[in-house]
Amino acid sequence: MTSMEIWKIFEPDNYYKSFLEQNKRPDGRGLVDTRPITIKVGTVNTAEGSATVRIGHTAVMCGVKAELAKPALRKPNEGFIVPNVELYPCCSPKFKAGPPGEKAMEASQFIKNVIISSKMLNLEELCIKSNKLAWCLYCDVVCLNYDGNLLDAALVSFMAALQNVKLPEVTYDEETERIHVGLDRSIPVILKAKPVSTTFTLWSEEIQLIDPTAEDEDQGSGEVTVVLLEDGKMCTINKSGGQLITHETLDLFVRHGKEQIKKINDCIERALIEQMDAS
Amino acid sequence: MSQHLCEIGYLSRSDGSSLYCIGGTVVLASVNGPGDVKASNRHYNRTQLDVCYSPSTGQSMIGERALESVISKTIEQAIIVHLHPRTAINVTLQEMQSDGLALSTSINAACLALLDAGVQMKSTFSAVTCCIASSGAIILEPTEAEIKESSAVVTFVFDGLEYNVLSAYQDGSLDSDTFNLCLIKCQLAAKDITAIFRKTIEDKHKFDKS
Repeated sequence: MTSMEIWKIFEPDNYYKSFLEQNKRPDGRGLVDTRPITIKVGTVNTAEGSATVRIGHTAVMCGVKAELAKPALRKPNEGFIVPNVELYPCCSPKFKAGPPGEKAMEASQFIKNVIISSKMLNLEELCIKSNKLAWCLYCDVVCLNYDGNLLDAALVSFMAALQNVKLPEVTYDEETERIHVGLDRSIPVILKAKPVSTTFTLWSEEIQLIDPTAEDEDQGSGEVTVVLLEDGKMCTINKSGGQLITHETLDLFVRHGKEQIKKINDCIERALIEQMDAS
Repeated sequence: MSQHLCEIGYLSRSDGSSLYCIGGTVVLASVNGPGDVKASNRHYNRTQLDVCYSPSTGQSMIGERALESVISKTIEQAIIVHLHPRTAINVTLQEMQSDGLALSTSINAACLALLDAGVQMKSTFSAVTCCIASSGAIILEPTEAEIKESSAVVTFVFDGLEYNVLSAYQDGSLDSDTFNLCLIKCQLAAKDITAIFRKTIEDKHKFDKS
């Protein structure tokens, strides 16, 4: 064990602080540098759409499964979309087996909020026959390795998987009530917006860290996630508790968020084209 | 701004309690602690905070659990957790009547109940919700019907000293200029709410003396 490792174990706070004093993080990044991101779509053959995303050491996988269902009585013209985030104990010792924990539920609700706020999907387009038949898209996000910034990774994988979805053609015969499902998957899901989220960890009033690792999250006090649409409009903001922040800091977060929009969306675009060329 | 009504010491058996209503939303909050805690939740350096929120109708689903985590992270930041190691503080919130403002009413109710219980805090905190009507106007403390018609709903929690942002929770999209406008409007409203807190507590202690 080197002396640095010993220092880290015995005085984790001082160890971490000494990096921040030099405007660096233990992994060598500056305070406003993001980690490299890699996206691969179509990683699960049996799902209608899928994507695997890596942000640094955080790895997240999303699969979209389409099922035919009866529309809800209240909304007979609408299909369903059900996001779900799972954090199994294999991704980090922080999570226990059993029913979804607080963090997993928070992430599921976060994706649901983004879907509703950004109005990215017209649920009526998922309806095949009013009051009879509609698509239900189950979007399962599974974390494979947890190293911070779950929300960003989950949203990127969700967006990439959704753009990878190809649904088969379905016809519904009203007289015989028979459902015919086409053999080849060809119909994409049309997205009206492509929201991108950016997460910051608050360390002190002056110091905020973009794209936090698990260590940054442990040392900091609370995260702020800003979700922006392509045109820079604010989609949702998520700050639960944590260090107090001023008005100006929020503005700064939005500015940094805007820089991320094009980068992430281009990255997804490239992954989609790559997959199309391969198949 | 809608009418705020509140009462503290509403429940006789809990350490602190409050009934808070904003417009048509009513929340009952009860605080117990610092008290005994299960060994698995015992922290050597701080108190464990448990928040339980139940909606007025139906069971607690993912949406309510997410609300619960926003509330609990907000409270955790305000109270001085290091003062009572190896204990737990329980905050129970029961929505009695629902009219769209569950989050802000719950947070305000929790703050008053914590004050009533005498739990030491760094500062008080107050929550304000506002929504953007389809006409573009900002409505402070809207009703459920107004929220349904609106394009975005934002809830802010401010601390009681500098009125900085403690928590922010947004549904629906809006541009950053409108967001800042909402922030300023809510900040002003938060000052009024803190004044209501102060008056409620003052009244209670006036009554105690006589």
